[in-house]
Amino acid sequence: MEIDHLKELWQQQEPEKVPENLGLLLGKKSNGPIAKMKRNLLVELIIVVITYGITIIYFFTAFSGRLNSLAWVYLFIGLVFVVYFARKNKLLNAMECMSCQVRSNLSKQVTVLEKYTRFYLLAGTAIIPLLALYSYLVLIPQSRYVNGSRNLSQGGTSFLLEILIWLGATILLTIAFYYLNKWYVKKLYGNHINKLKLMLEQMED
Amino acid sequence: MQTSTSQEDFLALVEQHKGAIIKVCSLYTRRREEKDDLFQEIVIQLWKAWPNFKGQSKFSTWLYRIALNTAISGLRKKKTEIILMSGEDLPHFPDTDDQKEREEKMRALYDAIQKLPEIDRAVVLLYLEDKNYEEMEDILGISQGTLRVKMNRAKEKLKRNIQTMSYGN
Repeated sequence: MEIDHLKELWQQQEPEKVPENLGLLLGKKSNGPIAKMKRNLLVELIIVVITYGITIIYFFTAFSGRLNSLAWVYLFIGLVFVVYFARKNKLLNAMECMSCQVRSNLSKQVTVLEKYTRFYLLAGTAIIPLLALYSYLVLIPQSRYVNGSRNLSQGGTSFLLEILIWLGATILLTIAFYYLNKWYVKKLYGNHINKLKLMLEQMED
Repeated sequence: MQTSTSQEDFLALVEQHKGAIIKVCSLYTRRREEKDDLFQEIVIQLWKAWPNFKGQSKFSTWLYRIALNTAISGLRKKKTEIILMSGEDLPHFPDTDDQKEREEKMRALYDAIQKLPEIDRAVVLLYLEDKNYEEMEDILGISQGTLRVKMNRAKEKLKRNIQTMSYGN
């Protein structure tokens, strides 16, 4: 079969039936990967706002307000999360340009998606040492304060040893979380990024 | 908020070009359900981008960009598997004596195109839709020189695929 003959036939095809009334489609939600990622981000934000909101109110009011410093710490962490969500949202908005040329859209997706995964990995790993520091400096002294004990070192453990144990555990956990996050990010986006890169290579070939 | 006149204009243009959208869907999906999903997604993406369409390029160029971007990079495929076209998905032709033969040829063409890599599929589609190299460059962002080389290679691959399938049947 000659390609030119097939081209003629191609142009004589009658259009297939369209799934449904076109107007009805306009109100539907996009199921593209970026739209889904944006929806997931919104769900995460809502969960953080609700859980942090409840925790902050609890620490402001419980124990006759003796733990209100914790409420301020949670408020600060909540604000850090808002910055984190804003950054992710900005990256997602920059990730696609559907009316751009196919090559430029692919290139943009690869660049921004790689930035997004790096940020995901960095934020997911950095949270461990930050949480450890926060627990050591704020959470544990506060709970000991509430329980009536003001000593950091108990049961004969020296201060230096306690620091070393915390530090060792933090380093181990951070390394473990780094690899766990790396695996997770690769599982979530690795194949998609590779596929996009392959198509970009096809365009340049 | 887009006005109802704007919506009517949009729907009229999409109705006029729906054949192009369906062809993109047919080349990038095989199952009926996936095809409908992709069609819906393309219309949604077109509607989202509609307020920014200022007519700097032809409507069809703009439509092909969005349709191909959605098909190529917008949707993640669940599984890569070749499924041959079923009867209900065959392209239709006006009633003539050789209608069956034409439909069979088109079925072979669709199946052969689907075996090409995603980018080659887009190049072949634009060729079949009689787009010139300038328009193809404007849609795909590939220089005309590279496009000519890709076009020759894609046509060769397509011929081979069609021949293989004919002998296989």
